[in-house]
Amino acid sequence: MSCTRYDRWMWDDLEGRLSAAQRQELAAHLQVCPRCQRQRDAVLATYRALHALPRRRAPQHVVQQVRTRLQEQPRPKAFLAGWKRVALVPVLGLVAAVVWWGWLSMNPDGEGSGFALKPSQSDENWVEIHEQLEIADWSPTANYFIKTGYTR
Amino acid sequence: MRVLVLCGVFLWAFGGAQERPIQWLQRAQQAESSLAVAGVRITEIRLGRSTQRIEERFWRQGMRAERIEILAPPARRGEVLIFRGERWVALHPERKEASELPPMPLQVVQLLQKAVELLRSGVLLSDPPTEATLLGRDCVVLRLRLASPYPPRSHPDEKRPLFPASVSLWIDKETGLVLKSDLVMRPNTPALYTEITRLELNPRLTPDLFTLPAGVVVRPLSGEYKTVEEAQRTVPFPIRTPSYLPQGTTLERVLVRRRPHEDIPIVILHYQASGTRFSVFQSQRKGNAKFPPHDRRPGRLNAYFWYDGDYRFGIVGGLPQSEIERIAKSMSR
Repeated sequence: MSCTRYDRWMWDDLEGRLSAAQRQELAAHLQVCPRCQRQRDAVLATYRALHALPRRRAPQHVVQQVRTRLQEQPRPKAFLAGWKRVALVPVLGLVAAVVWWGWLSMNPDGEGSGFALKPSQSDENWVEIHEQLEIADWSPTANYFIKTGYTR
Repeated sequence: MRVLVLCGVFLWAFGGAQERPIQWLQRAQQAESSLAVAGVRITEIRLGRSTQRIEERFWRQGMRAERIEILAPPARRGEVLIFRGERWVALHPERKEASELPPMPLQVVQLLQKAVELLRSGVLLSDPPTEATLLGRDCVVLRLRLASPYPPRSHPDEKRPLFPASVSLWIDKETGLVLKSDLVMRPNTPALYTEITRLELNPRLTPDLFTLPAGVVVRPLSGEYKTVEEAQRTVPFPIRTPSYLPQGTTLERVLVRRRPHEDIPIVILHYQASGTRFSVFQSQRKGNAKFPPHDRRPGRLNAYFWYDGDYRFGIVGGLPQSEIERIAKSMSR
């Protein structure tokens, strides 16, 4: 597995954007990869340093200057202006219908209906949560990690 | 006469061998409840192929007080758990705030107490103790296992203790402290492993170790409730409860889990029944899925998952499959 993906996951982990499975995969990788361990320490130090910086609001005159400059920038020429844009609507609709039909044919039981997780993945997550709850009673640290794992 | 003497010696020796694991457990219980210790330990939560490894520094004053500082994983480094006055709090020094935690066991004390009780009643069996060396110290290794490792399948009312299927303990011969433990909840499934990697006996423990710094605000930990009514206040959809539950079932707690960047939480009703536990999961999502209900048997756990309108449900636990499906049917509207 390439370490590049884990570089991105390190930031996502700190922002709480990883799933439980991704977090576990990352933790497992960090245990065996010294390069990523160093990278992780650097990411953590950067993250903490950024959060420790004081937040200051920009002075009003600076905000006004930036807004004025932005308005002065020449606008890029609009892509497909006027009637051409209107003509594009049915074409895009047709493409969307073909993609949707293809998606349904691959997922006959309706997987695409707004669910973020495939049923099997969700099942696995729930089974894992139950297993964690069984373990949690026997150690304060495990208990704390299990109960706060979803909120960090 | 000679035969009688031999029989007497045999019974004494056999009886003594049976008593020894209990004596070691009692000694460990005494040590864990009274000694002052500090050090570093590793806790591993093993679930299937994944393992979460936690490294922590600890300071413990018997059963009176304990402080745990997380060293790894790096994202949790610096978090502190403090036990004092019968309650645990989690301290986040950077944020200058602490969260009160639900009642939790002290490290291994509760386990040892339960093990003594079950070994006496014959529900728990012990292999002959063996010896090992840990941190340069002589240890006795106890391997305890439930006489019946699986929850009852055919008779849900049959009693079985809530105890791991097997427990291995490395007990320091000199002090009685448990230096290493390995708990397996069911054969070949989740396990909890703890090992002390650095040990300091009779350290100087100052009261401020177990005291929250001045100015720290303590707030209750959200996400865990005693009743459905309490949890309902934090959940945007009506929580459904089963109208059928096996006899003797009690609701242990209600958990509300929120995933990052998702508005709708998962609600978990965690029950205890006939020597096992089961969890009823529910969540609500946009759209109306049409998945057929399906069961799944991960190892010795039974499970059943289904949709009802925009609700998604699941029941996972050690109950017989027929009981799980009966509970599931009782939740439909």
